[in-house]
Amino acid sequence: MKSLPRRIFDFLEVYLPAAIFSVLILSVFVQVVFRYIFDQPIPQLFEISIYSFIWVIYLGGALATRYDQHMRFDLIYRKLSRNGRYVVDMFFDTLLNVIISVIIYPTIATVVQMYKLKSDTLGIPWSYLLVCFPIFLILIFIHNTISIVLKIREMAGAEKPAEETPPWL
Amino acid sequence: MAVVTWLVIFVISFALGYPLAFGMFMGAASYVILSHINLSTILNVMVIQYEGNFVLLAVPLFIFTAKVMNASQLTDRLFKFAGAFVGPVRGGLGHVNVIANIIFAGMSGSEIADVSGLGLMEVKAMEAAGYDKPFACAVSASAATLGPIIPPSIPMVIYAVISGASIGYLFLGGILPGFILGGCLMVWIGLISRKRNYPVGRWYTIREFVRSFIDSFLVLLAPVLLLGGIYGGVFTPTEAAAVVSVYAVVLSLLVYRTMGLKTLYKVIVESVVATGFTSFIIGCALLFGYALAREQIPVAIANFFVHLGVTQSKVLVLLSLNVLFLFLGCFVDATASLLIVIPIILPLVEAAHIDLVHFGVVVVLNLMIGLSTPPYGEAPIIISRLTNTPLHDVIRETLKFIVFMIIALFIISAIPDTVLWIPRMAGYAG
Repeated sequence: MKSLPRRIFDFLEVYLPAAIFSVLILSVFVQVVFRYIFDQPIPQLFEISIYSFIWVIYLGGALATRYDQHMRFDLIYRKLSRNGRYVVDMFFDTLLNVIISVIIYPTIATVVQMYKLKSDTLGIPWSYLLVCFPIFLILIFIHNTISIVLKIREMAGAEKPAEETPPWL
Repeated sequence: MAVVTWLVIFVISFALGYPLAFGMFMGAASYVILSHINLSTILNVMVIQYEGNFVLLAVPLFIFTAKVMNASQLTDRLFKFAGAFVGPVRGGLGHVNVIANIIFAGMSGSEIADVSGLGLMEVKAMEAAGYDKPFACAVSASAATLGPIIPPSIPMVIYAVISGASIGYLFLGGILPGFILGGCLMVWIGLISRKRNYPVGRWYTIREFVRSFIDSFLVLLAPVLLLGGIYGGVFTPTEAAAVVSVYAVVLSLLVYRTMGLKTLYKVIVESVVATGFTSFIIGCALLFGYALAREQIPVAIANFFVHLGVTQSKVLVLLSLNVLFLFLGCFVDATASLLIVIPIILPLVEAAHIDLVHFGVVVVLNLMIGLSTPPYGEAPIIISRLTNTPLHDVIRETLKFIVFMIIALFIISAIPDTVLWIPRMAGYAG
């Protein structure tokens, strides 16, 4: 039985972006079909596709962080001891969390302000597009915090927790 | 202070192996914070700027198409069909390997997709026919370099967004260099096969040819649909990518039935992850580029070289940049090199009057060579893992191919017409 936080993470980082990715492909495809076959362009589909893309980038970016998939220049990193690698990761995870803490409030404030501004064709608030970014920042903050705590515990002698099986496998 | 902090954070996090995207983000975000710039700029640059770059949407679509083709083993059909083009030549299957990669390059756009998709099957077939396994791995890793040279190409999409060069002309510009590179690889395969007495290929019987053609016909239509659609003026590159991705799903799910819904779901989530790390780093690079532009660093670098008189010689600039990119390719991922270096050197390239389409193809080829060079050669690493072959053996064989790739790079750099001939026929004024 999955815990509630894990279910929330899975929803935000796996199921939701997978659904949005499908919408992205279909919206561009249907756009082409309607424009060239039925000669009836649907301008709303352009917005749907670009909004979907931006959401996939940031939710996918959070998922890639969760499973450590972001690219690294690991020439030096690989040569470090386990504790050396952990210290590097913990230092920069902390720095990233500090930066996120500084920018998160003004970012959310801007997203809220943008509610009044409507998109050109769908007529929906811009906030709906932009809100993926603060969600991303919060997810990264949480993943970093969990990672720091686990690494400290491990360095203090606790056993390394079993690797989590990705929910799509 | 702000600039120093930005660069120190970026350089140290990069050198110590922290994820590159976050290193760029932390550096540039700290610059924004310390320069007292409105913090909503970060949101503006990293989210809203994507809206004006519709072409970037092609990136996840090309990723998805290649993953569907690989997951549903449509690539097997291409490999069998490619065999029809090589007759009784020594090292025949090595040549087949290159031709299969040329065909698959017409629909995938990524070297990693090519080596992961075709690689295992190619190596198995070559090993069974009597080739040395490390050599078979090296052929597959090197031939996969063709993926992003022959259109479509993910690195070219990214380059087009950064440089402002036309994506359509860039795609056209990659066609001839792709064949030159393929030719260079085949020269080495021919030479080494004669020396090591590798098996001789054979012509297909008419029955075998017809059978392999029928088996692969619908898959072969994918590049026709993609490139024909773009250059026939029917689709934009992004739309073409979506059409081909739906086409690949229909083929796999309904026509050949080589992929079930469960696999499709897995492919979608894997594409989400891949989009997450390839496109998120573009967002970070946009913020990084914002800081660079605000400090006018690229212009200062260009002016420095103009004062030195270096920009008077196109050849010297191209040669120097080729060396720089070859060096970077040994250590840094291709996307990262593009995103970090291109914005910095673009004014220098323009000052030297180097054509942006020519330069783009040269850079992409250069970076793809980098994916085969140690220690960061992703292609040899992937193929060695897939086939359980010792990495040092694969690298030893791959290094010989790299010499021939560099010969191709030299030809393409020195003769701009190898890139620009086809775009000019299509109306390019450069």
